Amino acid sequence: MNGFKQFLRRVATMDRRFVYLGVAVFVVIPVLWPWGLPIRVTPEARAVFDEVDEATEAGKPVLLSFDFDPGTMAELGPMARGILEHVFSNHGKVIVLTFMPTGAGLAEKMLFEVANKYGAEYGKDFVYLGYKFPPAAVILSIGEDIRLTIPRDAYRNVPLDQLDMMKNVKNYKDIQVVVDLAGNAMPEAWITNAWARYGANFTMGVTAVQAPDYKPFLLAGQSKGMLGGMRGAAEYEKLLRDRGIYERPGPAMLGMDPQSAVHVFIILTILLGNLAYFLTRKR
Amino acid sequence: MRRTVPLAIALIAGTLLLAQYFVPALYDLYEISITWLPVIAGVVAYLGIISFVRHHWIKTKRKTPDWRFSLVSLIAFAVMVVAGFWGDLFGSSVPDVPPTWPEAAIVDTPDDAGGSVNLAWKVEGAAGDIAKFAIRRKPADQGDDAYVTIQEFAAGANGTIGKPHENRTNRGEPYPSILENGDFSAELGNWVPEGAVTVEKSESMGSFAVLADGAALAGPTLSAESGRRYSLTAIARPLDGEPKLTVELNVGAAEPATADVTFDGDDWIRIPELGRYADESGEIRFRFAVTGGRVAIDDVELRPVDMEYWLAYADTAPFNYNEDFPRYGEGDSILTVNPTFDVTLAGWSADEGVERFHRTDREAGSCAKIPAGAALLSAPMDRPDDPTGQRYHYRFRGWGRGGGSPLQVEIVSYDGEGGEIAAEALDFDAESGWERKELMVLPPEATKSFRIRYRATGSEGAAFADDMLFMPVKVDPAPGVAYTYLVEARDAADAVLATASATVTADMEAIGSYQNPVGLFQWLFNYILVPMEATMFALLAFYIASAAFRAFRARSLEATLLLIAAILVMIGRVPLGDAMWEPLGKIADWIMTYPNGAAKRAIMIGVGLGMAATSLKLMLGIERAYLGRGQ
Repeated sequence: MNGFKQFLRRVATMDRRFVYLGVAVFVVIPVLWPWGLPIRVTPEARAVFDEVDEATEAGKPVLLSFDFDPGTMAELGPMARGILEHVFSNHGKVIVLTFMPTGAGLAEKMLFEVANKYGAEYGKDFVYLGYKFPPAAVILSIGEDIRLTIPRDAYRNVPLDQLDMMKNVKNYKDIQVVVDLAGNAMPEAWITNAWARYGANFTMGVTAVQAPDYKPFLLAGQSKGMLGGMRGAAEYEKLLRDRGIYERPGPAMLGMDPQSAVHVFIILTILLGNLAYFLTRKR
Repeated sequence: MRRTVPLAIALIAGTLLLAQYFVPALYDLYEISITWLPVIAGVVAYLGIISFVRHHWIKTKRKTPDWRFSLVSLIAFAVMVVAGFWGDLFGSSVPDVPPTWPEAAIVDTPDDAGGSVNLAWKVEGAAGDIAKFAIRRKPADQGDDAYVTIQEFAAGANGTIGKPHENRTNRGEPYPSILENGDFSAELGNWVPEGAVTVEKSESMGSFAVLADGAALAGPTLSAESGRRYSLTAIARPLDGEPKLTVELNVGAAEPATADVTFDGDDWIRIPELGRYADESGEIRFRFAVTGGRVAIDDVELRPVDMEYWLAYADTAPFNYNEDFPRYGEGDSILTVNPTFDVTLAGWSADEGVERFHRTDREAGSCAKIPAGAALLSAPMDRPDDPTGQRYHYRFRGWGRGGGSPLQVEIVSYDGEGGEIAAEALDFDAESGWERKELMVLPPEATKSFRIRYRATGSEGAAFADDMLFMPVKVDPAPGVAYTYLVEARDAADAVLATASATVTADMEAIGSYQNPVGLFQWLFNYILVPMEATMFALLAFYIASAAFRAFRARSLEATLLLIAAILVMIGRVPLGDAMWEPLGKIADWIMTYPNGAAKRAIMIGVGLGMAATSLKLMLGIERAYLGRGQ
């Protein structure tokens, strides 16, 4: 017993770099040898998928707000790609903007990559509005007339009326659903200004850390659906695979194995830390 | 004064914006505020920049502690300013649309209608009037008889409009009309009536000219500029009888353009656009003549039109095999002889040792087991005729597994004599589980039949093969095949005015690949900002793990509850939790929905009330900390 206590004491005081090493190992192993864990699709993820589906069927655009930066790209990037692939594979329309200066580059790259893959045409199938500021004014203005604060697009810098797709888009009534992918508090701005004031149809994708924060909005029906973290993105990719849009697992689905492994590792370290704490503490 | 003005602004702006929620008359104010806000925010951003530069400049100048970080910040700021203003330095900072189109090389043809190679043409200054364009295509190695028209589209007065995705034009903004009083707002003004022509007015249309039976109305004479096309448009409406309207347009010495308009119903209609090209400078004359009844004419416009068409035909629209041809069924397969090895290996030529093997590792069924060194060859499959004369690709899809030996699948092409002329291979690893793989091949022209050959290429163990499909797939245009494209500019009578052609080989590798913008701004973003931010965030995983290990202790009841909830959510929110014990996911969902939802709601409602109270305090001047320097 003393030997075990001695071991626990050493564990409790071990160099933190061993924990770092553990995290690295638990990430690398499933990356090299994937387990292919089954993914359960939650109702809130399916709701986002259905909303995008309805938009493409109705022929109305999806307004996709890229409110994330490279820091949260691992979680929110697969969501954005999945939604874009979903829209373009169904011959739908999408309007993309961002309220993050560092989101503009990501949005532009991903949008044009996916549009190019499906042969979508700028101005007819998609429009890029670029970085806009300040969010509240822009979100409110879209409720009145999008041209109030966004008179021109960001890619061609032409008046919106010169783009076929935008000729019939004035406000939220002409947009089937707003999807906000955010690594910040932007969904609150959308809900407060677009949903509450104009009744915009709203859904969101947020990081795993934010998911508990936004659960009440989901429960209140202010957001139709929610993709929470990489798990949410993986659920969306699963739906895309079931539909035949993704033939192979997407990046988030592949990320589920290392994420599961690291969660287990952290749980084990917490349990070990507590065990060491209780057995070695001085009364 | 320094305090009174901001306080007054806060009070007035706050009160008005609050009131507009409840008073519809103040709604305009709301719209104004929306458009003002970005301006104010822009000014604030500039103030921020000034403050940032000043702060770090002072720190650097005085060499205060950590002044080097300030210097780095200033340098980074300066670089970003340069990149912001000159982002296209070293290349474009925005992706091209469509990014994969090859460069257009303009080629002038003798009849002055130009064309560019590689599916983008510029047609300018064509003699005569182009009414439409046709794009035709044939395999380059075939004669002119093989041309197939793949698209026709009208050359409108205001640009060429074709189907999206397939052709694009860029004609720019139309020129304004050079005709004054085209709406008869100044009565007949400088128009020249022949017979009974009057100007009438209606509430909905304003002024318009009315031509009686047998009357005519000539427009004022205008000057034509050489090298321009002129376009005449108007609207007309029959008033009584069954009138016929004849419109004539003369530009310089060119043959006049005429159009006879008959009416079906009594609504306003837009008369067909008349256009003429000005070979040289001269006069423009036009005239409307009516017989058989009375006709109203309005909104007459005569505008110059650029004689330049950019035609871009995206025949090589980006595609990739996996995305564009995922849906095909077994019915399309030309491999019909025993592709699943259900009962025997009948129809296959097998080396010694190859056997039918009962599968237990997937759903019930059987497969072929091929020992190391042995091969299994399908019966010959005749290559189907291709009625279009263009070549099909062939797609193989099948399951395979290594069982100590790697497995190789070959699609073998044979000529008419039964000689092997080509083979393309696909490999499965020696230790792989069951995998489904695909292979797309473009067989040589001389191919008359195919066979599929499996080989266990290892020296020990065996390999397994099962369920396969093999079918022709139409890829249009086929990658690797050279096509000659011909664009024809035609007049209204379908006579060819000008042509331009180009021979293009659709390059599969080049198609569908996104080309990253390479400008300075994008380069800094892609290669500095993205990796740095991603790295910073990724480090969090390590810190969180370390912090959880060191600090997350069940020291009290609350901490214990938090710890248990955290562990349940952590394991329940990842697929491993579901796989371990299904209710784990539901427990995690329950924690997120009920305890978490309730607590968050309470916090948010509290915050909301606090924000309302603080806003009121700001508006009423009770809270003045934002004015700075004390209360």
